[in-house]
Amino acid sequence: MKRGTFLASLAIACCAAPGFAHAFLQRAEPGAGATLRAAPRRVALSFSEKLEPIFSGVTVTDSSGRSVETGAVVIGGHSMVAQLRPLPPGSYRVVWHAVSVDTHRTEGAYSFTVKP
Amino acid sequence: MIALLATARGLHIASLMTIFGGGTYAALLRRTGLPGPPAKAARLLFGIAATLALVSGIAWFCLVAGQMSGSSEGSLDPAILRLAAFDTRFGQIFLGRLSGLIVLWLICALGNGSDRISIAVLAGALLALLGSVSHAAAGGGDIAGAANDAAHLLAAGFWLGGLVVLIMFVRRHWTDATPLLVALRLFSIWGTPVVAVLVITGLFNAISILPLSMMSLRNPYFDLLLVKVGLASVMIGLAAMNRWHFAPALRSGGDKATRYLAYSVSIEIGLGCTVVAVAACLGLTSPH
Repeated sequence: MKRGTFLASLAIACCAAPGFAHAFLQRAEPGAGATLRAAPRRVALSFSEKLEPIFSGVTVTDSSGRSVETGAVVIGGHSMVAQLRPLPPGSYRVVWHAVSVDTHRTEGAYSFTVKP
Repeated sequence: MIALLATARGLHIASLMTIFGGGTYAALLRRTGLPGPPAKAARLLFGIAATLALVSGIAWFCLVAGQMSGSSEGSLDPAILRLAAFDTRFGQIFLGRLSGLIVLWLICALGNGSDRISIAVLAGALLALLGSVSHAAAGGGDIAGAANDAAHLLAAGFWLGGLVVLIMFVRRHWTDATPLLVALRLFSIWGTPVVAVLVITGLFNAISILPLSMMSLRNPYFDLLLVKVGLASVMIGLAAMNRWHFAPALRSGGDKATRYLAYSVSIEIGLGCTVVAVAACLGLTSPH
């Protein structure tokens, strides 16, 4: 038993916890700080973990704070996609929140610009 | 809120480990023909653990619902709780586990204590299901990863729960070294493969969660991991002292040797529970 107890202690020492992680933004189109010649038709975000659609979302607003998405945001797997109405030149802000299937919540925001 | 979440999660896992490991080891002891731990004390232990598992499980779910909604008030909002229960993987698994937790509580609280195999199997299933909402599941729905987490939890549960029943057994046979040695040998026989599982699954978890580039003192996850390793190092030192110093004394008999063994196992249990608590905090900390 002593050997077993010793080995048990060793195992607890060596092992990491069955860990939980967070959904981090890995790729965004348009990208953060991007300046675009043509208006994008959508914003697509890709995350490091699978998402819970019911608690995840994204909004895109113009410089006056008005929403510029059309219809519901599509969320599935690791990504979320928001279709946009035709955007006039200007600055736009993307605000997102993501809950991974292991329940952790992350959020963030960035801007992009459409050139005249 | 994070502190509450860690507390609920740690209590839930530790109480299920106690029932799973303790129930399994008690059943193994019974198969050897030895009288196990005192029935009344075992019923009390499993009853308290099952109650804790049920209450902490519900609290954990409510706190997680609040966390997912982005507001601590969400933990008490019926609409948020309904969405979390029916429209998320964690919630759906929780609903299934909740029925199991209630059955477990009924068996432990109202049963006569003779059905330890059934409570061990049920507690083990409830513990293993937690692997389905782990990092591995989030990363890619990887069944192997979820199974790895489940195996890790079960192996740790066997050890921690087994130690709790072992200390009860030691106290029952305080003056008789023969059954103590049989019980200790049984623990060792089953412990060796269990430890192998712990090491392999733990290494798999460590590699998948914490890349080498993140092993920095500026990373809170790594700092917590160091605390955990430090605590475990104390356990290793204690276990080594038992192995090389106290075990021979136990074989030659004597109350003093048994007392040292009891102290040693008790301290190991305390350290093991602390390690679970640190692991609960690790589970709520981003490794990146």
